[in-house]
Amino acid sequence: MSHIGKLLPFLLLIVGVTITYAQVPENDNRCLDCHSNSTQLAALTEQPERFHIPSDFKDQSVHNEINCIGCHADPGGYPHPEVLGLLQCGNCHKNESEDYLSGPHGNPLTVSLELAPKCGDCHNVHLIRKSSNVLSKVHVKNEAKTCTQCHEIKDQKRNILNITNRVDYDIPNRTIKKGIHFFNSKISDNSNLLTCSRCHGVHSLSEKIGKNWLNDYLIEADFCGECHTSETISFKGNLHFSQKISSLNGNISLTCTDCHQEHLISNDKYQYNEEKSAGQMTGKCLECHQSVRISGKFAQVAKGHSPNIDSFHGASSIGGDLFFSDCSSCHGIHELNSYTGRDKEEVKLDIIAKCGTCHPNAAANFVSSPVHMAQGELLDSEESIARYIFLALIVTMISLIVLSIIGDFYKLYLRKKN
Amino acid sequence: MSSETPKRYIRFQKPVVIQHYILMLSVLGLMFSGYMLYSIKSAETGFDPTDYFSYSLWEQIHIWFGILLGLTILWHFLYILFTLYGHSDFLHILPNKSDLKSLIGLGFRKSVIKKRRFGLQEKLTYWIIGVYLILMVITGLLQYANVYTVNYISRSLYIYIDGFHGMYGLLMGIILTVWHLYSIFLKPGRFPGTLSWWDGKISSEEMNRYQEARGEITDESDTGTGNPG
Ligand code: HEM
Ligand code: HEM
Repeated sequence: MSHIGKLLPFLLLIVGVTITYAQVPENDNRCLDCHSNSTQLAALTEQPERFHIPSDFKDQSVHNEINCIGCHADPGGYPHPEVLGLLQCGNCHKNESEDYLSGPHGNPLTVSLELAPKCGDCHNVHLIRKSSNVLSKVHVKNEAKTCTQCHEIKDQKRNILNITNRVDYDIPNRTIKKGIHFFNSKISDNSNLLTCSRCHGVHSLSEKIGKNWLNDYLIEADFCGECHTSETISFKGNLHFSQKISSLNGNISLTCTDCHQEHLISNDKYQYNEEKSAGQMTGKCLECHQSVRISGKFAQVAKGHSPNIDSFHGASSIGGDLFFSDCSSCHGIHELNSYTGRDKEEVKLDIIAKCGTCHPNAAANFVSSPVHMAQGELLDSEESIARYIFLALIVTMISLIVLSIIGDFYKLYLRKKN
Repeated sequence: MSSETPKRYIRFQKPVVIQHYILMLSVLGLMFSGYMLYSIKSAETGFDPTDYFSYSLWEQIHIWFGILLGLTILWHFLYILFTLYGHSDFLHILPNKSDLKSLIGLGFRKSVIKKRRFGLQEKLTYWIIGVYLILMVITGLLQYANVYTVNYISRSLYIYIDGFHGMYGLLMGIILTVWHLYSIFLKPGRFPGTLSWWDGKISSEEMNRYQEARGEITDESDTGTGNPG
């Protein structure tokens, strides 16, 4: 082989390296000489990891057109000045920065600067990828994990409890992923996965339902209604929605997440598992309706105040039967039927028709029985009379038997005596 | 037959013995499954049978035992109506004047009555348990078909049907069964019990013991209907 042949690999290497370096702006090479070299950094600083930048980060970064001093002030030579001026992201990303500063993550009034999540916490500092890149921390598939860096309370310093004291902001990653929106294959093409930002917005966290939901429950219904149109239309005519319920927090209405939950949204009623979730719907309604005030207001006054547990319907649904009836069977779900304040005869016919959907033979007598029953509830007079009669019967039976037994032995005694 | 094992005579015909077997089985099954049904609805019992079977399965079990009981009662009716032995036994177990006589002084004075096949105690057991079981079957069926029956009967009536069949019915059943077992095995004159439920036969010693305890005497001219065999 000729000399040229022997030198070829070296020549190629030199050409290759030259081409590579030629693509990176001259300054950056100078920076990376030290900053991509862990050994050198370790000799120069006590925080080598903090200042380490992989030499190839630009290949994947959206900022590959910008060189180091595009964001960092020019440090001149080495040693660098103590504080290096940092160009804020907001210099270029104006809108995003304003949104961020107005929202709970960036507003210094709501969060201390030290603990607040910063741009780099979600986007990375140097290796900033496009959000459509599956490796990006803000890609829909990774978003939940990114948010739960703080929002899932583990023992990390920056957990949401240390930052805000709000336990209800603790949203474990697995909870979100269990929810039907995250897993539903119909909507799980990457573009449409319902993950954190779809509901909460991105930088200001207020574009969607994060904003003042307490005062504006409409936002949530409208948002869910973007996909669940018919349910939302029905729900908006529903007493729960239209009639503001007065509570300690002021006037609020029920809205979608009050029944469906927020993060672990599942379709409880049809999930039959060993936890007997068949009864869950009833449980949900009872959360409010076992209150004396609420049930008193909505005409359950006559028969106690916690509906449905002790009745056949309650037992069969809680007992895990697959064919069962619960609150919704008569009252509807989104298009709530209200019986309150309506003409009695009309209500009667309506209820008979409702019973008739499962019991085709239902006639007028069906509605003469109490509808809602509860454990330990006071019986009506007829029921207590029946109960007393049976109790009396039993007591009489026992007494007669005891007497006859005494008699038997007395007779034995008499026989023995004679 | 050796002299040590006394000869045992037929007291109950085969069909009666079989009917009684089914009675034991179905009533115990009904009590058990009925208690389960009650527990599902009531927190009082403190456990939840739906950990084992669903509500409807427990109900099915209960109903099938109920059907068994119902069919046995039907068979018993046909048996006493249309067979010679059945008819004769039924006549023996009907209350009559001798029961009034045996009641004189509530039985504390020796009543002079002939030996009988069934004493007052047996007759009462038969009639009370019989009526109880028939009521349980009827109320059970009405409950089962409640969706149809409530259309035709008043709510008040349904309250009594429902109330009778539930926990109170079960309690009555338990009390009657305990009473029955007491009077078969423990009662003076009965102790230490009998095997007549097993094969329908008893010895003359046993029969005499029963009759003596009932205060019955033999009229010299009459062997008595109570004579075994
Ligand atoms: C000795 C006989 C029986 C006993 C001790 C018994 C006991 C019971 C008990 C304790 C209950 C539960 C009631 C409650 O939930 O409060 C019940 C329910 C019921 N029994 Fe019986 N039962 C007997 C016979 C029958 C028979 C013969 C039938 C039908 C052929 C029957 C049909 C039913 C039905 C349909 C229910 C209602 C189940 C429900 O509430 O879903 N039972 N029984
Ligand atoms: C579980 C164990 C039971 C045993 C060992 C047993 C035993 C007996 C015996 C020995 C007799 C014949 C009495 C006589 O010689 O006159 C009898 C009769 C009878 N048994 Fe039972 N029995 C049992 C359960 C039941 C049950 C659960 C019922 C129904 C609730 C029942 C209903 C009757 C009736 C109606 C008679 C006829 C009345 C009489 O002859 O006294 N038995 N039983």
